[in-house]
Amino acid sequence: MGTNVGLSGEIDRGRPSRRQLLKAGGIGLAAAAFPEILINCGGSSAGGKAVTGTLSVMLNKDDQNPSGQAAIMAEMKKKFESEHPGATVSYQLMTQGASELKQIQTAAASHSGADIYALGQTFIATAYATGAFETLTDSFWNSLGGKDKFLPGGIAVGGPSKDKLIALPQSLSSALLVYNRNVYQAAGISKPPTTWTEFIDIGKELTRPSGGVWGVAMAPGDEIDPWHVLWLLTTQLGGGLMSQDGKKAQLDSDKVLQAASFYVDWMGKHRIASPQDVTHTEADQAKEFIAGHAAMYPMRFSSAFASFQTSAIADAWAVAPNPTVPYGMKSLPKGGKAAETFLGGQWWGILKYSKNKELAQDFCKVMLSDEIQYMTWKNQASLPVTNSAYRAHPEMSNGVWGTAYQSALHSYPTPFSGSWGLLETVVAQAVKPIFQQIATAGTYSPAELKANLSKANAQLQASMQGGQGG
Amino acid sequence: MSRDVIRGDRLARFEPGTKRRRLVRTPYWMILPSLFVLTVIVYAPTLLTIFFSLTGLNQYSIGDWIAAPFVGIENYLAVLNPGSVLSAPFWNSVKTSIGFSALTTVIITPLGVGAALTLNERLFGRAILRSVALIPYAIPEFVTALLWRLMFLNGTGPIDQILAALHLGSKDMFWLIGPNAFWALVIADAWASWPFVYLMTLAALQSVPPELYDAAVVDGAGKIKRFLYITLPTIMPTLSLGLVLSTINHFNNFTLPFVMFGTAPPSAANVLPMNIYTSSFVGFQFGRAAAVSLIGLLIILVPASYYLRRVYVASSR
Repeated sequence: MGTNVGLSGEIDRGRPSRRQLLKAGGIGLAAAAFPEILINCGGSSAGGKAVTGTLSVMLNKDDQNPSGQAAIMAEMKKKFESEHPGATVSYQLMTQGASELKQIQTAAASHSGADIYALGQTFIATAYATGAFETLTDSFWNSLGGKDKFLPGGIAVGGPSKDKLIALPQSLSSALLVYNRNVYQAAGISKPPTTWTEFIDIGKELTRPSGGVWGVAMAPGDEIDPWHVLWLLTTQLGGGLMSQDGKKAQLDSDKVLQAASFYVDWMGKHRIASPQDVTHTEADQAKEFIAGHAAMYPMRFSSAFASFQTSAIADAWAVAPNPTVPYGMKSLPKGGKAAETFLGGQWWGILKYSKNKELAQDFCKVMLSDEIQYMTWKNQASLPVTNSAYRAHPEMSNGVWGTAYQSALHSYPTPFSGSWGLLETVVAQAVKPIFQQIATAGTYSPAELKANLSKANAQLQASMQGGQGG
Repeated sequence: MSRDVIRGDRLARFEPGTKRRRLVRTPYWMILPSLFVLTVIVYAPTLLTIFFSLTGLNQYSIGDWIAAPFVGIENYLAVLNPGSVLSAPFWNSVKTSIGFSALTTVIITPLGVGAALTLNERLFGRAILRSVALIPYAIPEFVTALLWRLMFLNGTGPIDQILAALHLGSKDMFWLIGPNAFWALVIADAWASWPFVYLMTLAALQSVPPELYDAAVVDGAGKIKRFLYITLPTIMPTLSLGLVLSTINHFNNFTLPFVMFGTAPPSAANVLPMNIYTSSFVGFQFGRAAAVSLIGLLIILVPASYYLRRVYVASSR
């Protein structure tokens, strides 16, 4: 001890040399003339940390748990700033979806913006396409403890390949089937469905329109829900909404038509969902389930757990993996995948134009600490992303969380395509009019569904041609 | 050689090469600040939009948009060519926008003029009524949209409840999806915008000389004749300008359909601004969205040129 390492590595033996004095004087003059140099370069304390600067972090607003999110943000800031004296964290919140996309596009076009951006799963490909986000190098991953530290599914969606990852998982969420255990027991149903045929049978058994109770709650009015369900059903049939390389739209394929027909048939043919659901969004779906108007539904993400835990059905709700065997079949068809879910959640990307990359990296470490991961689970009902967090807090993989955790381990990624955002819209546009027909006329035209999907496919393909595929 | 220049309100003749020539330049220097502002606000964005419309600007090239690939008129052909898959949604949006703006204007004109004529009379509580009439216009548009979204909610919304109670419809009219979405948009926009016509008409009515009515009464003209031969011709220039501006506003209305229906909007309410938004911020086809914006601009130039001509005629009188 007692020995310091100077700027160029010379060893300080207690008495400064003439050369060191000249250098110090030069730096002093430069600092007086250009104070920004020091601010941008950071200091050179013994720890080697960049100690100054404001790290700007753009996060998606959690509308379901705003106070929980605020507490996590405050804790991360406190922890980071205590570890980095002189550095501060400044948060900005955006609305997930359109606002998030606009922020990404603005950052890409202007070559400026926040240092860290939260990215929803389906927007990672878009962010990648803009080229505005830093590719996370091996040394970056190693500084965080290596890629093995993470749940594999969380890493897999962070880029087009393992060596081109731009997104670091922050929290995860998996899609599950949520059901009311009490309603099941009252009807003598002992277990949740594992095939879609059982799903329909149970749904029919639990549907009592005169009593205002339906087997299933649907959300065809949602912007995202239709493609979620369609993706699940199509993948199980062995198809895809677009090719895995993200270059070819496949919405006009027989498998997608089969999946879409089955999806609209929940309401149109099997009558296990209320026609009133036609305008419902994900939030309405949860509301109907909590109010006891629906016995089950394929929920979009486990983040909805938070609203169930404090509801009137707090003791009655349970979750199971989504059925994996297509309707009318006893096992998966050839090429079919037992897809229960893909992973949703939040990822972080570091802007390529950031001047605080080192601080950003350190802030990621804070976010990945077991303590913050636990808070994220507790306050926002999200699955942690690191294996160590599960080991430190086993309760995060027990009970309903165990089901969500297992489901996350068996997730399939969606194709990595910058056109996925458009896919969501055209799928919604294709199925919404069909549901409207069912709600008003009680039936629908299969030919129109096919035509709508073909039109959607052509629109999607036209846009994909303008890009570079996946 | 000589030329005419305008200095102040006088036409002056200056010979070139004289000392006084310097004076001629002064007015041009003085318009530089406005020219700068116009360049920043109008000319530069317009030129950029034209440039974007000729490129394949998308999510892959937005990071280096100046180097976006040049595609010529491909974006225009993609939407205008009837054989293109993108043409049907585009023309649907054009038709919806024109129908929506024309119909809304037709609905709000008698409402606004009627209200202005009524509130121009001496009535008890006229000042309060005049203020109340402006409320829909004063409410921020997104609030109006949210309000009408709640009103039109299926089954539980007041509109469905009232229609069902009066046996004029069912509780399942589905205003926010399907074909009824167009009517929901028209009703909401008409409610929000009729005060504009009312305001313009009321202002014009204040300028009708009362002695004209006195003379007409002496000549035995009734209320209808006084309206047709005195009121209407007098307010017509202002009213027609108001209607043109109103049509343009309806055509460009984005907030109302965006908040009422979200993305993707139902086909019946997929007006041109929504089409442009979806192309840009959902499909990331910024080049094509710029082309559609410029086509929309050309369409809007039809009523706008009428408006500009009226302004020009009025100012040259």
